[in-house]
Amino acid sequence: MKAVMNCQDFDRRLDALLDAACAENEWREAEAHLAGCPRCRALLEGAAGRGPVLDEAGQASLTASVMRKTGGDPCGSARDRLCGFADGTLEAFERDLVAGHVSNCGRCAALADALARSAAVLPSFATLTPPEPFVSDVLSATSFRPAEPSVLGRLGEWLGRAAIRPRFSLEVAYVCTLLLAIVFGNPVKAFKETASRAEAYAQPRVEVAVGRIAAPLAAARATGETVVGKTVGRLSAAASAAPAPSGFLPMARRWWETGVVERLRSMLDAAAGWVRSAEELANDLAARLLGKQPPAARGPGEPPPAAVR
Amino acid sequence: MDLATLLDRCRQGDDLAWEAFVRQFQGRVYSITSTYTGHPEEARDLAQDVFIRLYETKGRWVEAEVFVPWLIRVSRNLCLDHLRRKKARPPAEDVLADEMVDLAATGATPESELAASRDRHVVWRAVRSLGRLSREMILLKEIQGLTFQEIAASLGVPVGTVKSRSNRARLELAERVLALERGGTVGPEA
Repeated sequence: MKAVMNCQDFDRRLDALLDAACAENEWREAEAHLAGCPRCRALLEGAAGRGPVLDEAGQASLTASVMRKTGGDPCGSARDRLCGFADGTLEAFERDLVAGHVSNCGRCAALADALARSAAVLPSFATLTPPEPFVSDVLSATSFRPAEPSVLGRLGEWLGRAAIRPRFSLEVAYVCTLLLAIVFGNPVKAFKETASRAEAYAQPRVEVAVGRIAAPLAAARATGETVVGKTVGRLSAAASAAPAPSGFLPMARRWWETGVVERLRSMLDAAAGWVRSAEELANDLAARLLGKQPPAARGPGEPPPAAVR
Repeated sequence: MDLATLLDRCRQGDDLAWEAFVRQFQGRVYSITSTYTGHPEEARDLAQDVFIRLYETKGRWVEAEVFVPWLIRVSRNLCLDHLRRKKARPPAEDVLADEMVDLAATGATPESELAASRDRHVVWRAVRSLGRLSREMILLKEIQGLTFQEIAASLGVPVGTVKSRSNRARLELAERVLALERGGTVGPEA
């Protein structure tokens, strides 16, 4: 029974048919199949490179489609080499690559053309004709001018140019500050020494003032204590003695009994306390100013301290 | 005329040599000042200032082999000083007069002369519309023809930076040329 080749069999044997590596009977079966199958005839022609080809637009479209889905836009790479392409400095292989792209990309072709035209025109700008009379103006401007201006002249010119710069005022302020610091020293250092200098100035004066205050206060306190002691002694003695019919003592006894003496005594005690407080205040002030420990507070019977020095 | 001899004679105070020097370099200096200012009168005054400065400092001129790059650097520095002063003290009126710069055509036939003139004007306007960095690169590399090494020394940047800046500037210029040819406008950035 004669074997009949179908389309699937033909697909499977296509490579062997193209390579002429199939048996004679397979050839015959394939030819018999091709005679009645236009699909497999077209497949064989296409695989053998004899099929229909894309026109230029189709090729360009296919290339663009493939590039979009694979490597991306090639114009960036082409632009990197366009200057060399326009200058003719690319190696042959690179030049062919760029030429192939440019022949298919209108945008890069226009850019390459503009590059080439610019490169041709730009050197002509190397010399331009200045408006007349330029040479005579330059000659007249330099004929009476010293070839080398003096140092002062150059300094003046430099200052003139510098003065119109926006930063000039800031720079001048900075330089002046530096000069002031150089001439008058570091102002921060002066402020740092102010405290010690003020202390040295004030210390002897404070000591003198405290001495002047403390001595009269101590004297007043001693006097007050003496007077109070004597008065209290007299009143106590008078109160314990027999009452006299008249005179100072009966009156004093009446004062004692009515509490007048007690109030007087408390007043004197208060006065003595004020004196003590004033004395302690003076000592404390002196201690604060001079950094010394204040003397311990003393009782009413203790002797007054010497004046603070 | 031998440049080394001309420079020597100028240094010695030969007025005739100085005049020849001015005639020889006026176009180049004026081109540089025009590129920076874009205003013919301003460029002319600035070019004159460049020559006066050169005259005053002719004892310190460099040797002939490196004179042209040095001259370009001096001119560029004066232009930048001028632009800084101008920025600090804005003018009362600002006249855009790019088209007034004398761009004499060099074509052979009337048609080619017209085309060349049109190209020159478009390219000149495109150059003027570039930003400062790109404009400097175009001026130094494409117009004045300095090498990458000379530009790198002048600007104080690595050679690789100069190359990449130069490529970018050329592409930017080409794009602006195309935009101008399409009838678009490109405003000056600097």
